[in-house]
Amino acid sequence: MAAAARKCLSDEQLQNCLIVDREIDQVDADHLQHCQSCQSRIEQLTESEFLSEYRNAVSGQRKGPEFLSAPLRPGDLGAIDEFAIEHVIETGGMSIVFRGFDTSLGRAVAVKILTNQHSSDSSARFAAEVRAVAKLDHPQDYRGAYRGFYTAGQDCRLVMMDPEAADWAYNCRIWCVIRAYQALDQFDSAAEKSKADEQVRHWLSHLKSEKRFDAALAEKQITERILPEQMDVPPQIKMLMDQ
Amino acid sequence: MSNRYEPVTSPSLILRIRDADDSGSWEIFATIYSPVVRTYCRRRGIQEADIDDLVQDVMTTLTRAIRSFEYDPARGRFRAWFGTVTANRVNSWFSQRSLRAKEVSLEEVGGNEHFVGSDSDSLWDSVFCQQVLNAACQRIRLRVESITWSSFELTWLHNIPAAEAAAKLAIPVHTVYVNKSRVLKLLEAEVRLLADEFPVMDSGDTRLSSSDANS
Repeated sequence: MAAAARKCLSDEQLQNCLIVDREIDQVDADHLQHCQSCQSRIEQLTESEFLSEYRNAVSGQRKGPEFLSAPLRPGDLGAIDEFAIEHVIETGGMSIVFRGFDTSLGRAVAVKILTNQHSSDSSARFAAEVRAVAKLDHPQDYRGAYRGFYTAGQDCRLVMMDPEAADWAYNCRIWCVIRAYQALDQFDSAAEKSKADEQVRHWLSHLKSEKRFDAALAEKQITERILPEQMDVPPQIKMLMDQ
Repeated sequence: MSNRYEPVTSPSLILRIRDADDSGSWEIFATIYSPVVRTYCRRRGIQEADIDDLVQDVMTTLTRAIRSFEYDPARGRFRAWFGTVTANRVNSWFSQRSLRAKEVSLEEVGGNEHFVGSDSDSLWDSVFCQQVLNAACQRIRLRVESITWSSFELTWLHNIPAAEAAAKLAIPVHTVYVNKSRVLKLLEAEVRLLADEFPVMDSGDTRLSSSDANS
């Protein structure tokens, strides 16, 4: 039986096709199998107007970027590793900033994902970063709470900062050195096999203990005193340190 | 087969939880609506540690208020009333902490006279719809066969064309439509019950409830 030779089903026939446990005429079934027009019409017959609002809400919920994995908690946009991604705070030309939640530490974080490789205009980028994070202003003390920095796929990078920070001048300084600071944990494991183990560990310890250390000096220390000793520094750290 | 599924909430989940002996209904209510409040609080910028207390407060307030619930389809949606109770409690929390909400200002949410569940507050509606639909899906999924659910999931939740879904599941196209249609009917009934798509309180009740929420 050629599907094209069969006349399209009426709405009543299509409705009958949807009745559970009802035997469908094989000719109708064959036609429906191939007829896009009938498929389109029966599609409409199956829809629920009442559920459209609910469906739209869930569709909106699922508009998270592809690099997010399935939500860890109901209502989240998605997740990246142990970080629950709650919603978008700001979207820019180069990045997206999310409000997130670090499930391992039980604290809120801002999650910034750079969707493009950095441009050379680092000052403009920095200003944008501060503006985005500043939207999470909280009148609480900053307690060295930034959490991580790593790559998320080839074209994305991720930054976590504590949205509890209120002293934005201080926060900005911390932001300046976040790449260096976050590299410390990466260096820790590498330092174990280094001849400069003690010296490196001394600097690592020193830098980690300082809450208000000078950003430029810290970067300089890491770049000059630590990096050359660590030949197996992850590529992303090298790249970040070059910026 | 067609009558195999029996909704657990009849005629209204909200009505049933007024019965102190019906602990099962209360458990269902709390399981579904606690995450709604929790997600809403998160999106208002509240920290997780504070959310636990707020959720408990709101659920306690709801429990008290629902005792005076009278079913009247002309009086508005449960969703709106529930949203008002929640928003008032959250606003009260912000007032106490002298903090500002981040994504939704207190002015937007409004005081006791404003229903959060109205069209002006897409946040509450969005959270409510997401949570209720997710909960309904979880419940329906347990009540249908795997192939039936998969037909629905692929075509309705994931927007995959029926012909493609049929090929993927190795079943005829018309079976996909039958399965989808069946699950949608069950889902609609479940969402209506869980969301209590009929009204709850009049303005006097609402003020009383809002006061409860702020207490």
